Amino acid sequence: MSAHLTHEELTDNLLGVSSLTVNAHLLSCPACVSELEKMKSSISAFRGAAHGWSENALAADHKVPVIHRFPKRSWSANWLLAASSMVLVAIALTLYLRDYETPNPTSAVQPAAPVTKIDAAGSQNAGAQIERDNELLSQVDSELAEAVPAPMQPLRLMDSTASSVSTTK
Amino acid sequence: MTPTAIPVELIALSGEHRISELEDIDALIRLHRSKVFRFVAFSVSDRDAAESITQDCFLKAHLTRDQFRGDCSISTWLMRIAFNLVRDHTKSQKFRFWKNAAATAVDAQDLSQYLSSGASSAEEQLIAKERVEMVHRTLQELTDKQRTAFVMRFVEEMDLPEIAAVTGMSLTTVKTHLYRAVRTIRARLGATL
Repeated sequence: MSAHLTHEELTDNLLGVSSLTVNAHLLSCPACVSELEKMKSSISAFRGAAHGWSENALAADHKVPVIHRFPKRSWSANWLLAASSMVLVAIALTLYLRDYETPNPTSAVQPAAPVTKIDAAGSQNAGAQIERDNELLSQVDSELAEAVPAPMQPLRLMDSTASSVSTTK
Repeated sequence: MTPTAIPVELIALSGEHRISELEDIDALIRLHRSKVFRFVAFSVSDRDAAESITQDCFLKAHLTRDQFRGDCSISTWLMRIAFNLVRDHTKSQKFRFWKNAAATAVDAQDLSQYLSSGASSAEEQLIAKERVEMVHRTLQELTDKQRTAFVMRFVEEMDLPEIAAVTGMSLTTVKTHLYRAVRTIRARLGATL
């Protein structure tokens, strides 16, 4: 006779499929009986506690039947929900893109003032520049209108002096 | 007709009777909700998730009741649905991320409060409480398959062929997982008590 039951033989007894040999051994081995009883009582206590816990959890939390809290949605309702969600997303995207591309009137007001200032200053500068340009052009015209260019004026004076000297001779 | 043959009319009546039971969803929930909830709760170790999966189980059973062929009991069929839902749930990344941080985890001390008062003395009550907490903690250390087999066999008291039918495992595989689960729990109990 072997010393004690193997783990598999003990587990078989727990599962209710033990052999006659195992049962015979248990009749004459207090150690194996004690080990088996410890396992059986532990598992039995766990089962009892688990049943009590689950009954209490379900009774405390939910008085309403499960299915009634989650009404069945048909496929058409699901499709309708999906389609309406897509439409909402498309509308939101369109609005966002429109706002992104067109400047906001309120935000355009603030930079408008500096722009007008810049324009006014720019127009004043442009007027002065035009005046200066006109003066330069008129000066150029007057210089062009002269028979002898300005750099040649000293020569002209010398020529006239020489001619006057010769005529006096 | 041979003397040992099963009357076809009886099989058909049995199947029709089971299918008609599925139409009464309130009765179905009343009869099987605790069992499904318990199995799911100890599988995912999260009370909120267990309630949600239990609801999904009955909803799925109600929506697919036309597919029930009547070749097994309604309880087995429901447990098969619950087993598949638990498997899907445990595979999800979301579950893996939140597994250790579940705010509504099934607490071992909370569980031991529901011990039956069969034990006479205070010492016996204390020992039983410690054993319940130890078994519950050790359940979390088991593999998914070991835990499933253990809960189905020792909490729900399902027989081995029914466990095999629900999980899709062979009888030998179911027994192997049970041997390993019991070995682990026995070792923890032996080490502490």
